[in-house]
Amino acid sequence: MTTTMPPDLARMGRDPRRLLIWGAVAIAGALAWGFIALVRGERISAIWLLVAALASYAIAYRFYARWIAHRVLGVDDRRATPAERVDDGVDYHPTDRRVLLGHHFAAIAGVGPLVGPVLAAQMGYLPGTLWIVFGVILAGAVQDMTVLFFSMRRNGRSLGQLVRDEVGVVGGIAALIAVFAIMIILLAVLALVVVNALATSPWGTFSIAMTIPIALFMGFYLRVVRPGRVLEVSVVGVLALLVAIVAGKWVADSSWAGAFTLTPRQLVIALVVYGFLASVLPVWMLLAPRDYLSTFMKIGAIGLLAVGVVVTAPMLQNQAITKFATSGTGPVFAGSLFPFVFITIACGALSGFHALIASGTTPKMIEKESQIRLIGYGGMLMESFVAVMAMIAASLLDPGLYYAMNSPAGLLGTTAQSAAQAVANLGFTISPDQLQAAAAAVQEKTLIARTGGAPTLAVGMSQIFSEFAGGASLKAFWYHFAIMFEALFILTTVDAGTRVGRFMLQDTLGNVWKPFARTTWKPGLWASSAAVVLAWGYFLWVGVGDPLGGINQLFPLFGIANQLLAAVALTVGTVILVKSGKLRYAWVTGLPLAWDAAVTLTASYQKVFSSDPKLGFFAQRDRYATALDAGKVLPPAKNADQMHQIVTNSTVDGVLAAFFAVMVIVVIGNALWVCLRAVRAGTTLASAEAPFVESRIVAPSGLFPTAQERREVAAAAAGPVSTARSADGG
Amino acid sequence: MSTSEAPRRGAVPPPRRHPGAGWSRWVGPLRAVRWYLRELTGEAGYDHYLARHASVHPGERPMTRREFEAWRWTEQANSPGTRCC
Repeated sequence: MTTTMPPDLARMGRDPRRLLIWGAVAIAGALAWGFIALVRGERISAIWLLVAALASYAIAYRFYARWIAHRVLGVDDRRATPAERVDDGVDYHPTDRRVLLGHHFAAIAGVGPLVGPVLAAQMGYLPGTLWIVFGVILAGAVQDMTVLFFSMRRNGRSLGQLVRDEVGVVGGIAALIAVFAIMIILLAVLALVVVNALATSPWGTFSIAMTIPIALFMGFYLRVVRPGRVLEVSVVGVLALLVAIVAGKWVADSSWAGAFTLTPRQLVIALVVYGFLASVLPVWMLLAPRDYLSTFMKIGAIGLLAVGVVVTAPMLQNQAITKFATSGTGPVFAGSLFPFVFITIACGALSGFHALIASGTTPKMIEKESQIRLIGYGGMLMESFVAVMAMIAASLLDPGLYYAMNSPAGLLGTTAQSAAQAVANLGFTISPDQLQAAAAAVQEKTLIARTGGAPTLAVGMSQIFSEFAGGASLKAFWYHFAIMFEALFILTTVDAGTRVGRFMLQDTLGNVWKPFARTTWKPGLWASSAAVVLAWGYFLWVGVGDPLGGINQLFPLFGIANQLLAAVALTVGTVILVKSGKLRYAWVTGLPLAWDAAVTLTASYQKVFSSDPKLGFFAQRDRYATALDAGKVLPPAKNADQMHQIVTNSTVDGVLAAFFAVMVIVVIGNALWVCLRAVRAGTTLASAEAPFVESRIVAPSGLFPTAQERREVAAAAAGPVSTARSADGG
Repeated sequence: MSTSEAPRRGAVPPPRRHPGAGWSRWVGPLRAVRWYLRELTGEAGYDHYLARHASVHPGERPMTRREFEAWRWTEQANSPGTRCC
């Protein structure tokens, strides 16, 4: 394969203006990082984090991503992409790069990069921010772009198929099982975040409940009244959603409040029933319209947050590094900085789930190969930026309030007095009055032990937003606006995830008993949907009742699962590089893989084998089982029943942690063997890459076309037999 | 697949117009935003289908908008897209 130096890289040395601009960006970034690193014991402005992050992203995108795309992967714009070659008008169709970036971003960005950093703020803002920025540059964005590239070169094959084709059957089966199990944990933990955000909050519950009739109306409109007119009905839907948020206050203040005040257990049942219905009903009724709403809210809320952070430039109240980073005794999640800050941040820096999207729909829609840098690498940088903003929103809260909201209920008790006392024991201060005032300001009954990250983020966002729009009077509105958009994200993921899980299960069971594979066979459809919702419903049910705190117990499992999936994705990338004779570049995915494997396997090891009952699941099990045998009740359990619960939960969680790790060790082991074979053979090994077909599409590569690209596009448009697709009728 | 030999443009937004005075200066950006949102939500899918149908099966009757959208729902139901965390 011949790769020429990208024209701009060659030009760089000759153009003093470019050197000057990039030099300035580098200096700004270095100054900001230096300032963040050196300031101790003083409050710093969030602006420094933003400047450091943005300058780092710009340099990484401009130089490292470009180098990977052109040198390591060898993108070739003379080669037709599957979108151009196949172009069947269904899955495969060339899509404008900016539109595809929007699609891809909407698919990868969810609530993960928002809640992970909030929980990781327990270690201080510095370790989390460093990992979010450097993790994405060296690992997360690299993973997304390489998987996108390799899948694109193989007609958009899925991650599971890539593992089977490139690594082997054993690895492929392990990856498939791991993906399914990981999906279940993902759905359970995300649903748990929603439950914790909505429990005993009539305002939030009403607003979210209203999304169902709104979605049904939109679906009916799009199906029956005016098919396909998404924009007009989305405008109506978003307006109705805002009305629902405002109306939530009226409901909460009225005699209806009781009907919308649900306990966590009631919410679990509602979610499981809802998840089942959303999975078996036609997509146009609930799933697709909610997806439109969610996409618009996503773009709107994230845009608003970015503007808010820049305009208000809040001061961070959190410490740079807290004592929990080294002691590992934090109340939000157990374990010390290595490996648990990386496990907790997960999605904002490196997310294995993105590999499922980068190997699903996106590679079938790319117009030109070089656009993988914008869509794969650039899309992930955007997600990382969302994570930085979430870290800022969590860090501008008073630490006392932060710990009162994020420690498990078992530790905090139920009254403002007991919570204030527990926070004082942790070494922070908040008075019972302040705690009640904070809850009253956002019109919630209580903010004590509102774990899961979503309520904390909502309080942070309401502080930012109310500062530039509406003042204190709108604080409660902004809080519920934030809760609504987080819950909407999550429910969209739960809908889609349940459906994907159902298809996986139907597909697998279809191998055993044929009728299951027919997606139209109703009993099979209902049975597999029920199996999927009951699977995540089990963990959700257990999570809300866990005396040790569901988030505290399950979030690490979610992080481990996600990071293990990333290990699978990076393994595939490394294997393909080695097999195609690019051993000298294999470190580009190999080093992030080594780091990720070290982090994740250490975390799994500690979760399984640690003798500290706060950290190790089996040590926890032993401690409570022994006490139970002796007829004792250990806090935070209040009775023998809760003791039994803890024993069961820690056994299940421990087995799962071990299971995930074993699956991934199988994939990596299989991969090492294939790599060894490739290196020994000394030649390139067969890979499933699709053959070369010459491309005829002319389109820019980056977000903004260069002058050269403008001329080429104009020349192509003026060509004699142009089949240019009119992108817009009007 | 297209049969033309000439290079072709990918999907593109409407051409930019020179900004005029007063309100008309907003026409271009607003059209661009509308184009983007129609593409992003798939509302423009039917337009693409018609263009494609005319070039691949010239002379044949294309699906109506209603038929097209119904067909698209079925397609979507059978190939669920993952939404990430």
